[in-house]
Parts: sequence; C-alpha cells; structure tokens
Amino acid sequence: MERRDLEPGLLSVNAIPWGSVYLDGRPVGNTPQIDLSVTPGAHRLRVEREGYRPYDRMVDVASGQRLRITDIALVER
Amino acid sequence: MPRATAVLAISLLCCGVPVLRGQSGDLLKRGVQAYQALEYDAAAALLEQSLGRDSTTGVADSLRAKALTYLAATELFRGQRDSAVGAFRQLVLLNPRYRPDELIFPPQVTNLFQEVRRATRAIAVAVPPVTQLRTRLERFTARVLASSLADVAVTLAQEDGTPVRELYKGPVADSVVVTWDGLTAAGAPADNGRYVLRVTPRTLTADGPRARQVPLEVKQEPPDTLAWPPPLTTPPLLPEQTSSGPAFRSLAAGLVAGTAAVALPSIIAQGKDATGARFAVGAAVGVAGFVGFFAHKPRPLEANVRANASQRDAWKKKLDAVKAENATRLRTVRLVVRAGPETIAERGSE
Repeated sequence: MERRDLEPGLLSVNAIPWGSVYLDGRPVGNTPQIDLSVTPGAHRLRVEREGYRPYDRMVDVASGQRLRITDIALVER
Repeated sequence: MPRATAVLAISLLCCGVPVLRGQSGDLLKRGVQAYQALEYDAAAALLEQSLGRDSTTGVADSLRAKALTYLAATELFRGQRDSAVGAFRQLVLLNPRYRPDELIFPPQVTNLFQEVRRATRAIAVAVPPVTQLRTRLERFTARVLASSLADVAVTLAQEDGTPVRELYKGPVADSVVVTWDGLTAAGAPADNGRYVLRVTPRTLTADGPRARQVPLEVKQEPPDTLAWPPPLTTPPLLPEQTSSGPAFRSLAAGLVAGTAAVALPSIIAQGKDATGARFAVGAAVGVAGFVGFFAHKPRPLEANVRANASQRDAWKKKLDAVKAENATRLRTVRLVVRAGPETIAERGSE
C-alpha cells in the first residue's frame, strides 16, 4: 500500500505558555491545536515563543492514530 | 481515555451525585487540567460545576474569575462561541478590571475577552477590609473600577438610606480613587453605626452597569494624647543666688561667742559679778556676728538666672506644643471603618 493511501493520523498539541506550532517547519497556528491531520510517519514538531526555549521533537504518527502532546512546558531562556 | 473522563464528568452531573462543600477548588483544578489536556467536554463540565459550587459556598471571587476564564476559553475551543461570550460577560461583571493571563491564553481567547469587555459595561468598587483614620487628617480610600467609560456617583449613606456625604461625581475611564475624611456633609465626624458606600451609574439604562455597594461599619475610638514634658528641676536648673549658709553661720557664731563672753566667767567663777567690760566684749562679738550675717547675705547669680530663664522658656514652648497637639487630637476623632463584601445594589436603591 502506498503511503498516500494510508489513513492519516490526528495530532493535538498544547503548551504552557501558549506558543506557535510548526510541523515539519510549516507554521500551523498557535496552541492549542486539535486534531491536525498528518500523514503517517515521522514529523518534526516545534513549539516556540519569543523569550522561551523552543520545544523541538520528532514524533511518529501511525495511520489512524490520535496523538496528543499536551504537557509541553516552555521554559524561559 | 479522554472520552471516558468526559463521560464520567457528565454522568456525575446528570446523576446529581452530591458534591461536598469545599470541593470547588478541586473541581477548578481538575477542570484546568482537563482544559490543558484538550479534554474540553470534561473541562466545561468540571468548570461549570465548580462555579455552581461557588455560588452557594461563597468561594473567593479570584477563583470564580479563574474558572470563568478557563470556561470561556474551553467553550471557544469547542466551538461554543456564544457560551464563551456569556462566560466572559460574567467575568467582566464580576471584576471589571480582570484580565486573562496573556501568557496562558492565546490571542484568540484574549481578543474575544477584549471584545466582550468593551461591549459589557460594568462597575465595581474595592475597599480595604479595615481602615483606621483620624477624621479631617487621614482618609478612607475606595477604588472605583469600570470596564469601560462610565459616569458614576459615589455616595455614603446610613444603612437606612439617609444620605451622609457625596464623595465623587464624574467619569471613570478605568479606575478612580475616591477618599473620605470621616466627616459627614455637615462637617461632623461620622457617628458609630452601619453605613453603605454606593457607586451608582448616573445614567441608568437597561443594559448599563448595575450599582455596586459595600457595607461599612464605623466605630469611633478616643484619640491618643501626648504626655506633658517633665517639670524642670535642679539640675538641670542652676542655682540663681549664692547660698545663705555662710550668713547664718556668721550670725550664729557671733551670737554664741558674745553670749559665751558674758556667761562663761560667771559659770566658771561663781559668785563673781560680771564686769561691764565683759558685756561690752560680748556685745561687740554679737555685733560682729550680725555684721558677718549681712556681709554674707545671699546674692543673685545673674548668669544662672539668665540660663534658667532660657530653659524655662524652652520648657514652656514644649508644653504649649503638647497642649496644642492634644487640643488638635481631641478635635479629631479616630474612626475604625470595617468593610463588608461588595454586592450589586438592588434596583430600588439606585
């Protein structure tokens, strides 16, 4: 089965304080983000806010998975 | 799992499971956690429940404000914009100066709040719980708050509505500090009793802000007065004349010696008559004693007299200052003003 035929995953993101969310380098808006549709596979998730150290992780989203990352705590620089 | 939490929270509400008093704080905490975990249905249920508890248990306004803020954000993110507006409106009415934490809540939340705040006209009054003041000299202060520009009158009345003093009349853009010197409109210190501080919009409209009031209990207390300065003594006062001791010693010595000159020969040689010469010697010695007395008579010490006069003047000035201060204090009255909770005034009292 080709990758594009797989059911997408859903990614939700929240952070304190609120920040700007980037997925694979592409801005998707401020936190909270709920049920972002993402292709299955590895993605780079970044949450940033001025004056704070950014949250930057790779996440694996499986086909049909509903992944929530809601415990992000941005730390002041 | 999130769904399970939501179902549990909703079932608790629907089944009317009794919630013990004092759990509002816990409900709020769990509601905030649910909000943070993006479990909005559960968060809304828990936050609404915490607010319901608040109304019966009188939980602090600060907790209520926090619950309303999270509830509004929750409603906004789950697509219930009208509910979010309703929660924010309650928040503005509760505390016109409250602002959601811009660190926690993203712009879509804070922007909606500002929109509601501008559209909701509310006033509030904040006073210290206890104020001690000296009438005329010190002031009781109240801060009048408004969500948007409001024209208000701030009045003090007795509990039965009898006017006591108008404290302020005019606009409030954000807040204004109103003071009271403890006097009635007639200029007399307020008597002991219960009063009401009321903030009333001067233009009453159906959608305008409601009047707010705070009950005040006023109690007079006798003023403290200062002690007089201690009286002047010696020292520090200096002697103002020479001692009278030498004069009296001279007189006593002359009289004793004169008497001895006359009497001793008669005592020692009994049967012999005193001669006139002995009387002359005795008289001369006695007169010498008198001369010595007058020669050593006490004399004033001018330098000391002047120094003492200066000290007495300074002491009298101190005494006069204390008397004047005490007179001032006795003219003023110390008031203790205890404030009760702020409430919305009844329509009839506006």
